[in-house]
Amino acid sequence: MTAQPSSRWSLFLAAPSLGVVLIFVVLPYANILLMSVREPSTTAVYGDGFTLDNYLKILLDPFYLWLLWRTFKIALVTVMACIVLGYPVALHLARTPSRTRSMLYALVLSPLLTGVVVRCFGWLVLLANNGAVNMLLADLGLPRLRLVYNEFGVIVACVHVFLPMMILPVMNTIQSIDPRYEEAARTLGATPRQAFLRVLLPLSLPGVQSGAVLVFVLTASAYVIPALLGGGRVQTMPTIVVEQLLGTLLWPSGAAIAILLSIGIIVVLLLLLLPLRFAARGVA
Amino acid sequence: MRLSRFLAGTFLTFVYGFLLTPFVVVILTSLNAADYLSFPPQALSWRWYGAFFGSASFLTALWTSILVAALTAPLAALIGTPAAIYFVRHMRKYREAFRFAVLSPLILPEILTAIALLFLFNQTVGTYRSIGPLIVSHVVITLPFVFLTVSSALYNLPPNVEEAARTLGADARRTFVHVTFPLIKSGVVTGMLLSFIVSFDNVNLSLLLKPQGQTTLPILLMDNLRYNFDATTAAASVVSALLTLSIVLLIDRLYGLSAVRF
Amino acid sequence: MAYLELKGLVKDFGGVRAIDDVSISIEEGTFASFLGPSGCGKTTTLRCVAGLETATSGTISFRGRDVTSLPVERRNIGMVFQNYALFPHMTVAENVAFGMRMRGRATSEIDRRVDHILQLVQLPDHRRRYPRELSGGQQQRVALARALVFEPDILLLDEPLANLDAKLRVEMRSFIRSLQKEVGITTIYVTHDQAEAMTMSDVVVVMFDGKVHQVDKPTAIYADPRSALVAQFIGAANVVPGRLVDGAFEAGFGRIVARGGTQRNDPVQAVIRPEDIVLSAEPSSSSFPVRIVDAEFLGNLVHYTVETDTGVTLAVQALGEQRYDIGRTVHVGVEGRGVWILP
Repeated sequence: MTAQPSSRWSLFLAAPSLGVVLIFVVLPYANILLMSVREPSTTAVYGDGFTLDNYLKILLDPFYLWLLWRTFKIALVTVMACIVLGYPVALHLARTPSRTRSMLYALVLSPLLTGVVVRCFGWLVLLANNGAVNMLLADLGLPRLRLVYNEFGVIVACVHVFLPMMILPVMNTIQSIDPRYEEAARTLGATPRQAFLRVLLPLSLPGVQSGAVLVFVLTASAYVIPALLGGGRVQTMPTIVVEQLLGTLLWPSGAAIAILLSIGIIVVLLLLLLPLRFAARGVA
Repeated sequence: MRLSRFLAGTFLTFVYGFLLTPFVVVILTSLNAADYLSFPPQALSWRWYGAFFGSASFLTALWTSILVAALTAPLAALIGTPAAIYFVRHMRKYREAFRFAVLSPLILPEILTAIALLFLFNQTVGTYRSIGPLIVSHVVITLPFVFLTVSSALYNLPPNVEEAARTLGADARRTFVHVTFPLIKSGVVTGMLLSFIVSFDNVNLSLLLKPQGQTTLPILLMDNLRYNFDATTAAASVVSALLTLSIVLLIDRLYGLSAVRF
Repeated sequence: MAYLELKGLVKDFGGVRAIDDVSISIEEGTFASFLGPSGCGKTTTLRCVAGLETATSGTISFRGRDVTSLPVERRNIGMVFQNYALFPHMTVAENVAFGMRMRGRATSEIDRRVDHILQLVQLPDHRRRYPRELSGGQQQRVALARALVFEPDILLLDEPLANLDAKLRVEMRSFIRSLQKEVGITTIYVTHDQAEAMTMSDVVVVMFDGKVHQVDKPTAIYADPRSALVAQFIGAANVVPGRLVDGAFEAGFGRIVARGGTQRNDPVQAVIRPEDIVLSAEPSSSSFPVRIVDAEFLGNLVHYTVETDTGVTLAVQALGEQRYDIGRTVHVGVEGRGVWILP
């Protein structure tokens, strides 16, 4: 199948989607940047003139810095939990024979299709003070635990919601690794454990990396889960931004917070990814 | 050896169970006969489903969600299908850039996209809390799915079939109508159904852009979870989940789940 | 007037010249093979004739009519692809009917012709099957039926047998050839398999590196190759440099009567086929001595590698009755018919 030469009118095929992206993605994002340097106003979404105060106010306010720290902390803990829980599942899925695999695969995917609110609901019922877990503890004579409306509840729900996003990339990567590499290692005298640690694990790291980036970005920018599981008591950057935008009219500050969150995410990703890349190169 | 096998098996069961538990909880809660939210339920009843189907606010929200999703999906297909065709068949230079651009709504954090569109609609159209902007924003976020499924279908076309059609006397238009489109139909339909699901379940965009006085089902569920919790919400959640799951089953029935390939 | 005429055809892909100044004339009803190694430009030439590629320069004419700028769908060609390219979402009957549907023929006529051609390709009961239910050979026959049913001007085949196993390939070879004879259609057949080209064709077009080296009957290609490349591609060949002296080929180690070449004393190259070299233990008036360097016993044939006293190496194919050991000196005679001077 050779690509046909692009005639002039075939560009019309691409025009609608490019138009959508330009007008509804590029332009609006640039506009956030613009909004973030506008003067805030209490009577309209923004006032006259431009200023960098929005940024200064946030950067100099320890509350916001602490908020940023907490958002990233939750995200990082979620990532690590997802790696610990997700890697074995991905490994299992990738190396299972096809029949059971498609069933289990559907099982892993199904949470993705039922909406985040439904899933949060389940956790709220489970972890509430008179929810299932605490009822069980009470029956066993153990003291109750505060499991919701705190960081713990938020993290548990984030791990649950984003676990498939770790499992899928890792599974895909492992599936693309030829099992003959491990077989070769075994013929050279490696035990199954050594073959795994020295051959499969290093080769699968790119998948882990993709999953980690995905889960990190999703968690750090998550709104619904902290809003529901945090119950107003656990604020993260996204929840504060939404509050500012919907509750008050201080859109410029909301915009500045959103920008700073984005920059923060990119910085943390770079800090995480660079050493990982060196490690992968060294091991592989 | 046996011990590590057993531990591995237990661990895996735990994780699979972890993934499933919240649904089981929601389902059981929705069937609880008691008045208060207790777990586990002592007796089962359909009463909360009755309450759901008798609740005007829930039904309106459900209907709004379905409407928005039903309008979003075909629009996403109309825009995404030609984009995929252009990308796979006609594009020579800047391919990676184009692909990145079309897939960007998937890569960018949804809450930021929501904020960006909130600003945009407010500053340009003036009305940002209405159905039009809401649907536009849903189309933006579902477009990548159609693009991916249709691209995949195009890549999986048997080689040379379009050339064969040309040698048999079909011009470019007739080749598309008689050969190309029938063969990528599975990609288009799968993309549309995925778009429906994504739009139906969406929270971030709907939260910021929904019309005043109207709401979608996920938003209504969220509000209920925050402010007043009762088992009707559980019944609503189950209905919502069943709806999206049945669409996935539909895809499987039509084309097999392998069609959901990127 | 030739049925198909290519004049000065050139095709460039970016900076690469795939075919260079290709000029061929083919008469009506001929089965012509384009033969050459991968990358020689034979498929590119075919695709230019089909209209699937646009030539950079040169002209293509069908029956005197210039079709160079005519789009594919208007050239009235029938094409068979290497991987069959059957439409997976259509039945066999729908596949075969496609060309006629595009031409707006009446349904009754279409049905009649489809049935007739399916009989011809020996698949009369397969109307309602889908391509995926057919074997490779059956799919290939459907592809042929589809390409022939609307009586195109030219039949083009792009390595159609490459995906079939060896036995099926031989069967299909004769099938395609007899079908073509029965229908009488001018045919171009692209292949890299010289056995296919030699056994099936009226005319063989040998190509290397985008250029046509020879257009001839198969026997002429074998006996009178135009270049060393052609000689070496078709059958094995020894290409030996030497001089042409008074009608005989002289190469330092001996002197042999030869065919071809002009009568001057020029340096030339001679082609000596291994099977035309005769080994014997005793010398004769026209023989020259060689030493046996290697021997491969293949049942009733033996492949020897021998070396002359001037250091020239020759490949020899002999019957296995007489076996000579390595290191032995034997005497070589060459049948006069077997030395051909390259032009």
